[in-house]
Amino acid sequence: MNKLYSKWQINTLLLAGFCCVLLSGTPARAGDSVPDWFRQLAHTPLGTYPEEADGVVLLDEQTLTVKENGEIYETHRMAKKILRPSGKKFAYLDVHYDRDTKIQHIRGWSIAAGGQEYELRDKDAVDSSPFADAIYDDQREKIMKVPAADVGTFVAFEWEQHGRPYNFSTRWDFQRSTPVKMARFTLNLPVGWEYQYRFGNWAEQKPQSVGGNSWQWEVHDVEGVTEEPNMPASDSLAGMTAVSLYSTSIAQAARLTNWGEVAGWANSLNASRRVSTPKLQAKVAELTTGKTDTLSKIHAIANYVQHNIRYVEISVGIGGFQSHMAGDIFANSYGDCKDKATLLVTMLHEAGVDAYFTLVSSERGVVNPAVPTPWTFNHAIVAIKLPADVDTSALYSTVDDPKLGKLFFFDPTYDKTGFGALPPGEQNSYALVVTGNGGELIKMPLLSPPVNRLTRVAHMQLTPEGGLLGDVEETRSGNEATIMRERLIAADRDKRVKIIEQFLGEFFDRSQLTYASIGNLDKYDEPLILKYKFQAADYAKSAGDLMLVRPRVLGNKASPIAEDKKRKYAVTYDTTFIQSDAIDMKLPAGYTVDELPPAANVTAPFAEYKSKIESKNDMLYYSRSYTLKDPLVPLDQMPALRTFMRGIANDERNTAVLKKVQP
Amino acid sequence: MNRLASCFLSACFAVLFLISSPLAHPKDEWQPITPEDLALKDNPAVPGSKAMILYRSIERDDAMGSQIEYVRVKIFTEEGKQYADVVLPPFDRSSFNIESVRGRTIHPDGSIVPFSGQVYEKVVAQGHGLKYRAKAFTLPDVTPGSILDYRFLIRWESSDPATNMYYYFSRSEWEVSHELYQRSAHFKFQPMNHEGLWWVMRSINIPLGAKIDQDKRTNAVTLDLANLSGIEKEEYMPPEGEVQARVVFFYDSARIPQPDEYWKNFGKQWHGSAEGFMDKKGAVSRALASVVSAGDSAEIKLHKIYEHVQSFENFTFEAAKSEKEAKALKLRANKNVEDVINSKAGYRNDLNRTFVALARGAGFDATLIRVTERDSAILHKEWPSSSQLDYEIAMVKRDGKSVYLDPGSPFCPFGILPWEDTAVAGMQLDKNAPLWVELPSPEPNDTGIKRVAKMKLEDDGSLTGEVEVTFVGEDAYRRRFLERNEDEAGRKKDMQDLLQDWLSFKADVELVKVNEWKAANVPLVATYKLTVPGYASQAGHRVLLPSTLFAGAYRNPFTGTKRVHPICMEYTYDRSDDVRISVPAMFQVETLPKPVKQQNGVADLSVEYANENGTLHLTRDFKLKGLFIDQKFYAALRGYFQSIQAGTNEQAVLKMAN
Repeated sequence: MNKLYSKWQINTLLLAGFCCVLLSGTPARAGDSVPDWFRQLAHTPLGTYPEEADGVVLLDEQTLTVKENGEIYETHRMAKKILRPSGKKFAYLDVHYDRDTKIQHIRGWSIAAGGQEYELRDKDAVDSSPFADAIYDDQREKIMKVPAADVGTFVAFEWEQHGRPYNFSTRWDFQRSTPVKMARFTLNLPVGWEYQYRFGNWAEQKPQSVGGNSWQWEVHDVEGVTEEPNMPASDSLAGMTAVSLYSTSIAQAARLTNWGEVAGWANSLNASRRVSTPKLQAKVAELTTGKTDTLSKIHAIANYVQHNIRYVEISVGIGGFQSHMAGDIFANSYGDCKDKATLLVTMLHEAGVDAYFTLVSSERGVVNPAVPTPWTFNHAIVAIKLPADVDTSALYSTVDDPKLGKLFFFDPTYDKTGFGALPPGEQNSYALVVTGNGGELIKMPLLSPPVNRLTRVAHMQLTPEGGLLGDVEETRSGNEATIMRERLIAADRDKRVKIIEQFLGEFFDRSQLTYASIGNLDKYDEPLILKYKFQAADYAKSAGDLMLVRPRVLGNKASPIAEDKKRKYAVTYDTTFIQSDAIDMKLPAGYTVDELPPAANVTAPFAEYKSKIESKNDMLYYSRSYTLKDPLVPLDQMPALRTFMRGIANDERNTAVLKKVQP
Repeated sequence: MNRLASCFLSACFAVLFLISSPLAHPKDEWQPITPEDLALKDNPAVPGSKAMILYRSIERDDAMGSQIEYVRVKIFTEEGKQYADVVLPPFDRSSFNIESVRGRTIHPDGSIVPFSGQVYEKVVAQGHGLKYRAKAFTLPDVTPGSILDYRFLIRWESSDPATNMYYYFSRSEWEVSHELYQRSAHFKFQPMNHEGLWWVMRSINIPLGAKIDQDKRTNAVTLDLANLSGIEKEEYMPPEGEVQARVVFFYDSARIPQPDEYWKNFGKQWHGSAEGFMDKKGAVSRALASVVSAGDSAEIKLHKIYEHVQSFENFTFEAAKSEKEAKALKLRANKNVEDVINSKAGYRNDLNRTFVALARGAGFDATLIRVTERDSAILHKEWPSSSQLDYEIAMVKRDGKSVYLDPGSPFCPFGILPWEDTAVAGMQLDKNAPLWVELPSPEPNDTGIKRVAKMKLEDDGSLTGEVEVTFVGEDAYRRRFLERNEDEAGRKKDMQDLLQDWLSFKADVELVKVNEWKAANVPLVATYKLTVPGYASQAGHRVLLPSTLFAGAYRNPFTGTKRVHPICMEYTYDRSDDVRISVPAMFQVETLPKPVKQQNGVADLSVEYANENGTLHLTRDFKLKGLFIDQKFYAALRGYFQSIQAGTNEQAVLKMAN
């Protein structure tokens, strides 16, 4: 489940040091040799790979075997060649496990560029915590580092691991950041067992029978999903297969082949946790006292869970997927996302409001409606059923579902997100609403630009020496407020001043913050108001009897994001938005406007940008508005995005020329 | 965590140490809570704080092998609630354990919620017979205004008279500073008191007015202090450990002498071992025969020896090899310079010792200097701790002058020291120890980056042309060192990113060539093709042209108005630009920015602009001279760097010729 912050991480460096010490202690043994399958792979001719590829996966093989009694075993073979210095990381293997998914054996080999062969066995692995963000979990990892990590070295690993008991649904991820020459997935099932598979982000491929009830898929020459700035979530791009196994011989081996069945699985884990307690009931009564309409009750309870239940993750075994008891979460006032969702659903029920535990991914586009599987979710929120007569005009994350009616999606974990809104990654993404008798996969809405608004109004005065005195008021709502709140709340007062000073430092070479105030910082449902005043020496530049002044003053909207002509993926932004500036600037006595830059009007299918500059008497007026209508810019729109951004950049660089009036 | 690094079995104590008091154990009672503390809304000393420590205590008992820590935190904001999640440091159970964890949350109304949850323990690393664990817990029902109390006991393996096993720590330490402001703090230290075991206390940055007492009967030392600032991290600050309040207790199995005597003893010991390592005259003669020629001048000989040693494989700067690899590659520890010469490999100190041995063999007056590197620590001569002097560099006397050299650092040019080893104190290898020397500050003229650009302003306002960048001295060394493990594609990307970072516009940057990545003693020269779209902007019939192409290289590094710590620059340098921009014939230059000439104690700046027959010619030279600057001069320093940045935004004004 989604993890928000870490305390274990403070020890990461220290622990990494421990692991390095332990790994470097790998003892020497005589007669190291590598298995034939690995040696043959090392002699297979390679293809051509992009120059930025760190390495290539020669073989990524996974075999899943189900025994008659339902026990599951997974074996893995992985072989890679290191192509670049940054590929030295491939000499490391780390395999996660917990008490249910123990590792049976693990082996590692390498063949150095000079032909020297090395072999590692179970006892050469280091056992460690994977530095998860949880305050506590029982996740473990075995780390192995094969010798001779250098360019040209071949590395290989093989390991066998228990599958999680009674978990008969899995996924095969064959596309990652590194190119893959061949990936293979083999399924060995007892007689009478059946399976269903769905490919995601990859063309459907039928399996080959490899004897008995055994089946095999292979993919070849898979391109790596390389990182690009502002790209969609890599899990929304990478090829994978979801596989569900089922049999009538074991009760738990139920089908998870559609979203209703996946929701049923989630409900079986979490429904029993929603048990109320007298203290919890008393709190609900306290929160709803005097509130007569349903929305006020929902608001009070949702606000309580979002802000008074601290995010702390503690998960052990199946607890990674199952919430704690609602009463315990309430008593401790802490829990993780599924705990907070469970508590909120329980409290709303106490107040007579129907609500559903809901599974989502925190990254947009990851949940693929065509590929039903539990292993696509990493976060839990709540879908609240609204009475038909509730005014939803400020509940932007509301959906009218034909089956479940009016549903208001609320995330009790992201505490800087206001009531009515949704965190960016959840917008325009699918949510699995877990009802008692199944569930529905529902697309959550994309919030419209006016919800996420930044308005900057500034009154400025230019001095004869070129200095600028500024008085600015920023009003932020929606995600524009959330982003700034996250920075400001995390900082002490002095650090908040630094945040504003650093912002000014982006636009002024010599600036002095003279006043700052923050309004509604912890009123998450209200706009955030920032007011600040500053002095900036040398803002306008003298050139003979001319004075050059940039009328835009504050805010960088242009970005070089589309300048990379090799880009492979679409550009994504967090949300839609409207950002606007309105600046008036009093000119110094003795100067008049000589030249003004032209107005800008740049449009694209996904956005528009307009600016205007005027002068009247001794005043200069600059205004602009930037609206992003669609946060996803497809790859074929990159030329349009490039033109759009260059248009903004030109406007932001534009200069007004003032001239000294001859006496 | 206190540093229990050097825990080893010692049989040197003749008399058994018998435990004479009950095991240390956390007391059950908590500190009393005042109504004022319950009502406290903010830290009066640092308004706007997330949280503050009202009271903190560390009672360390080396005799009993235990330490009790007690923390009382007041939470002021939602963000401050994070201090309710407590992760205790990882520990190796074979050395020490954490137990008796207690905690509670006190609400602003005085109601108390005891911590009754689980203390979670997990193994964070395990292998080869070692196991590191960590413990964590989270206090319940925390809100802004809550006071959190928690305490725990760290217990380590104590000496065991039954088996004649004794643990001996070379030092114990109180980490007095904390990330949060501390209103009140109490520290107690009970030293080990075996017969024949000696200890001394040393401290740094303990505030004036702090009360340190020693109980003459028990030897216990206590420190009480109030109103201690939280740890503040800033750019260009001294090493973190040097700005924090610390108290260190040093143990030794013999009487701990006065500092002069301590360093004398250490210096003699080091002299013996280092000279022993270098005393292989036969191997040195054989090596010299293949490195230098009889006809070489002394200068050439020294350079040849330097380059020869620097070409050896350098283990200090490579990933550690496993025992398996070491065996396969037939690697073994160097016992003397003969081993280094034969294997052509060694650690940094091995290589510098080998250089000194070869230089001596060739007739030079050469020796070693042992230093504390200033990126990590400052030498405290009053501390009886030789581990402060961690690296050895070479010194050769030439024409009565000392030349400091470090062939043990890959790509470090002859005559240049890594900045970490400049402007520091060091001990010279000498039989009459201790002989202290001060290593010189780096010279700005020895190190620099020169950018030469020949550009053309196109009709569409873009700028195209070629740029040549030359790195010398420390700048060349740093760049080569940084790229030493990269391949061609990686180096190309890094060099292109570097030039892009110096530009104030997004540009098409293509690295055409780099002269030499491997050699240390020639400047590093990179040549680029550059196109900057939209470099010029139009205002009516005028065109405005930024006068500084590499404006990004002169960003003000000091943005904040407040400064807590002194400013420590890494090294001095010279940065110079020579940019020519030819403008289309249809334009003529209307105005150019004014030239600048400034000199002060920190830096020199010279900027000139010229119109040379339709070509704009900008020359800029910035020489950083100041290395260490007191924080009281911060405002002036910041203002100075602001004005330099401001100068890069000047514009040339062109107008249509007719």
